[in-house]
Amino acid sequence: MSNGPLLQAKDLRVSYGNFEVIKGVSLAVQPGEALAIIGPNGAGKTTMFKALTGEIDCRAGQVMFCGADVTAKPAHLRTAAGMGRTFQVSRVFLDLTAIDNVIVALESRDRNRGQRKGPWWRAAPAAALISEADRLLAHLHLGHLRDEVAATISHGDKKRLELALTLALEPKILMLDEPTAGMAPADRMQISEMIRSIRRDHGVSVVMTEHDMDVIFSIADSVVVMNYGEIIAAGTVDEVRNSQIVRDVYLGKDMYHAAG
Amino acid sequence: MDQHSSTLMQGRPAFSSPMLKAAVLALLFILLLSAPAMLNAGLLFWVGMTMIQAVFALSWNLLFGFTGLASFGHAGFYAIGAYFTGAALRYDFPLPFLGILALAGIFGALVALAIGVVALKRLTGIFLAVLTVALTEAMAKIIGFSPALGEQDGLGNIPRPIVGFGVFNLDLTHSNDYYRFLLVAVALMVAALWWVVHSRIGRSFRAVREDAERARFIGINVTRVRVLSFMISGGTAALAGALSAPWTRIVTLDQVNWLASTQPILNSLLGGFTSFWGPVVGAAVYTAINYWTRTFAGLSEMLVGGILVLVILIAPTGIVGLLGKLTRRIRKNGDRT
Repeated sequence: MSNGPLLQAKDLRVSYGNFEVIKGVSLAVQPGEALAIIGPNGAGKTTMFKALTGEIDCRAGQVMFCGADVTAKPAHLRTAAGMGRTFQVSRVFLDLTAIDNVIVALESRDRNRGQRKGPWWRAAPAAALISEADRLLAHLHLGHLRDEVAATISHGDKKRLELALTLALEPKILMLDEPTAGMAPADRMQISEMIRSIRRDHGVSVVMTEHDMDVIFSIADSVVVMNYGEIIAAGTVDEVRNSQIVRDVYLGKDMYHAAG
Repeated sequence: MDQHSSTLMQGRPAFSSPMLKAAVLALLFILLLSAPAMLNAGLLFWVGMTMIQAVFALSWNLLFGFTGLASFGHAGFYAIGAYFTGAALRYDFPLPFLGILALAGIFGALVALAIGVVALKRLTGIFLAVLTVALTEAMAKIIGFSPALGEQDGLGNIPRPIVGFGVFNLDLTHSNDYYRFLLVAVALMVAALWWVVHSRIGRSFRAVREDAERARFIGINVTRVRVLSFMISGGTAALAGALSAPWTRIVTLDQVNWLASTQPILNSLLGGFTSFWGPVVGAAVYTAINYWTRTFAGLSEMLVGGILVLVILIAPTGIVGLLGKLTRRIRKNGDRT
């Protein structure tokens, strides 16, 4: 599996009832690559995302991850195999504290690896896990919120906490569904810097959907453009930026709407 | 218990210091242990039933409060344990008593597994709730037509067991002796449930309760976690029933109807479903209300109903939640002055 793409979709088709939302999409993500999926609202980006991560079933086609066919595999097994995912509207365990959120994720990772830190009869999480969780929180600038219940923290902090949950799994690929949606411009830049540093430090691949072109241009190596469930353009960031067809799709829309 | 795991407790119980909590529990255990010397046989019976109801309520709340699933027919599991143990003792099955108890628990867990696999495939809790009601109704019908199980009259004259430990025998035929055995068994079960809730397994239960989709995307097998919780819950409820049969010495169809199924729900809501100890407090308070109003027919139902309405309106987190809120407020005021 060292050669060949890390994540690959082959002629993927998804329908909601009789309505075909994804109409035969193929794409590939190489190890270490960052791919952005863009397109207008309703283009099928999030559906594509859900099909790749296993949240919904696809009607036809194939999803390959790490060289294995995962089309029929449920979400938790894809996650265990190294797919880390965040949601458009951040989802964390609202009733748990920030540190407990991360600990639950770390424990799930260890369980899936068949590991256990500390004796089985010990109820409280192992000291090694707690310090690992603390390091992760500090890394994402959430250290001061350690013992806050997740429901009470701000939207931007929740997004970062969700990223911490995902990083706790030590994923091979990060699947980010609009990582900066609804964030203040300063927060957006901070998140994209964070994602860049995660890529640098851990060599993970990234697949993201995003509306903010500044974020996309600062993170992604390549871009696919979707419209009405199909890929209408694909290439490097610069190629797509200068493509006429992409401009047509976005006609009348300011691609740099969140600049500054 | 270190500072960390206490933050995992839901609703922050009234007495938050672990030392204080351990002291209260130890005192309670000693009091309960000396109860046969202080109470008459009638009162002792109430105390024993309260302990059984407390475990029963804890088993229900493991599902509702900690995994986010509801069972409206939990009496079915209780009855599995009660009738199996009753029959085993009455008809002198060639099994040691501890073996009977273990089998009762395993039966409960297996029935939960069967229901869980069917219901939770759909991944929505309502199927589970409906199927548990169906289980209880079906069991009532089966028992009603089984002469060996006493049909409508119940299975009476259940002898109390003599527990063999190889070198010595533990004679539990006297109610005081069975009471002490019951107390130790209940304490062990409560400790086991406490461990489940506060362990890695319990944390995955809570993650599933909070957000099943998110839990799936940190690699948790949500269906398996739910079925596991349901099996532990069903097994514990069956064990509570199993312990009750030699205590009441009769098991009847009254334990296999929807009213019996509401008892653990009532106790959990009354005491507070967000706290581990809530159902225990609820069971104790419920017994107290019933005991003090026992001479006025119908008053206890009205009182319990009224209190439940009050709890839902004023303190949705129950008595334990209310106490927690009060102590926090007092502490805050203390800081200010």
